[in-house]
Order: sequence, then structure tokens, then C-alpha cells
Amino acid sequence: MNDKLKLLEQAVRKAENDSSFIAYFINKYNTFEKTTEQEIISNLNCSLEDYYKLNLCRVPDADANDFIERLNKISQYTNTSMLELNKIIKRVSSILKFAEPADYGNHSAFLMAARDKQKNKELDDK
Amino acid sequence: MTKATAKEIEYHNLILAEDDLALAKLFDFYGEKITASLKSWYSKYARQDEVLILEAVNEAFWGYYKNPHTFNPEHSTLKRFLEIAAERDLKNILEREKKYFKKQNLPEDVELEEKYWNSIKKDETLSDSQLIFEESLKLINNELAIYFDNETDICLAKLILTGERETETFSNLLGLEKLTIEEQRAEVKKHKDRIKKVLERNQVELKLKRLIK
Repeated sequence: MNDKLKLLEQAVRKAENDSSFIAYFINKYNTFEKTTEQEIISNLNCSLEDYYKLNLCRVPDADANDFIERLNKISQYTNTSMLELNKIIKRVSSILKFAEPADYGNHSAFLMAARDKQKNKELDDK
Repeated sequence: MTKATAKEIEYHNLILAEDDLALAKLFDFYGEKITASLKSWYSKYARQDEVLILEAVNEAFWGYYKNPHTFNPEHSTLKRFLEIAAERDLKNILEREKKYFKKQNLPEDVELEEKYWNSIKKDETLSDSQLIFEESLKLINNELAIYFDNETDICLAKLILTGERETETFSNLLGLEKLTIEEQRAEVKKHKDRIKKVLERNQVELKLKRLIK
């Protein structure tokens, strides 16, 4: 791994603790969905460098009017799948909505979101 | 005094505007350059533990990102600003390490190696030898500032005085990475010759030797 990648990786680890960055969302997504970084990279269809750069982008508000426009800009810059990125942000946003602002790790909120997901799946199956 | 370039001001404005891509672009464009500068100035240390160099660069970038108003585009280039911040953060990290391990005469002491930089003798009996070291560096910087009117030339002079021979290091400093290797070599040689002439004409090496004795 070259210096640039090492530096980017270190920066991403820091950004994972800041909810204004995509790194935070991807990290949460991995926890909720029990996915690995490698799987995410594969789903995003991007290089490791682009993946790290994606993590360092500010996350657009999923409810904002300009969400799609910002998402598009980010996915273009980082050469990542917009659909996959949209899925990650929307999924984590919905889970976090159930949590208290000061307690994003709230377990019951996660369970509520998980139940919602199950309900949606059942509806889809019908 | 070298002002920030148009490109640097563009990056700075992105950060001020909290643009979604600003931090990623900052790391993408300056990450390698600042790491290379720090590695060349602290080559001995970089060989021992490059992680701390990367940590220092990281801290500097985040520090600037969180407080972009600390940078004044009228006073320096963004590259130079980040270099200074990273160097300062490296010194702080080393100081923290030193305290943590509670060792004396740490090999990790901040010292630029080779030639004259090595002749900076730190007096361990003093309460804060780091201050003396920094004072010496300040004297050197002040002396070089007499002959060179911008930070890049001062850095080039330091590299030449430390015996740096890698074209890549000079290229990174001069921002020539996009040129071909041959073009980089030619451009670097031109700059080195220009700096060497000034150093020789003014006997700067001799003056610095006297200063740091």
C-alpha cells in the first residue's frame, strides 16, 4: 500500500467517528448488515482509493431536496455506484432516525428498523 | 511572501463552503505531497516509524479542515501552510511519545539528519532542549530568508544543504509530478543550480555552520 492509500485509510478511521461523513454511515451499515469492507467495495464497484475518498465525503441529508444531486456529484467524483451508495445512506438514515440523537447505538432502535425491514420484505413477497 | 495559487484558493473555498467533496479532494491532492516533504525533512525518523509521519499529516489536514480560517491565502501557499502544520503536529506527537515512554535520550528526538542538521547538539541538561533545537531551526530559517524570498526556495535550500539527492523529493516540493521523469530531472536541475548559486555566492553553508555551533 502506498503512502497515499495509507494516509487516506488513516483519515477514514477518524471520519468513522463523525456522523457528517459517509465513513460513519458505511461503518454503521457494516455493523447493521454484518457486511465487510471488501463486500462494500465490491458492491460499490470501485477501487480502494476511490472507496477511501468516498468515505471522506460529507454525507448528504437523505430528506433534503438536493439529495439526489449531491449523491450524483459524490458518486461521479468517487467512481462509485450511485444506487449502492443511495441504499447505504437511506438504510442507515432510517435506522438512525429511530435512535435518540445522543445514542445512535441504541439497540431497540436497531430492532425497530430491522422489524420494518422484515415488514417491507413480507409486503414485497405478497 | 508567496501567496496561494488559484487552485489552492479553489480548494480553500470548497472547505470554507463545507462542500461534500472538500476533505476528499484535500487528501487526494495534498496527501502525498505533504507526506513526502515531511519524510524528506525527517528521513531518519520516517525510516524508523512512518506511521507517526502519516499521523502528523492527518492531524494537520483535519486541523485545517475543522478550522480553515487559520489559513490566510495572502500570507502563504496552502501547501506550505500544511507542511508547517504537519511539522508542528509531528513535533507534538513526538513529544507525547516521549512523555508516554518516559525515556531519556530518545532516539526519536526530532532531528534532521546529515551534515549541518546533525551538528545541532541538544543540551539534555537544560529543562527543555526542544526549545533550543527549535530556536536553532528558527535561526537557520531566518538566515535562509535573507537570501530567498519564498518558502519553496527556502525548502529547496534546506534539501540541498541536507544532501538530498532524490529527484522525486524535489519534484514533490516543486509540484512537478505530472511531468515526465526526464522533464522533472531537467526542471529540478535548473532549480537546484539556481539555489546552489545563491548558497555559494553568499557562503550560506559557512554562515549556517557558525550559527548552529
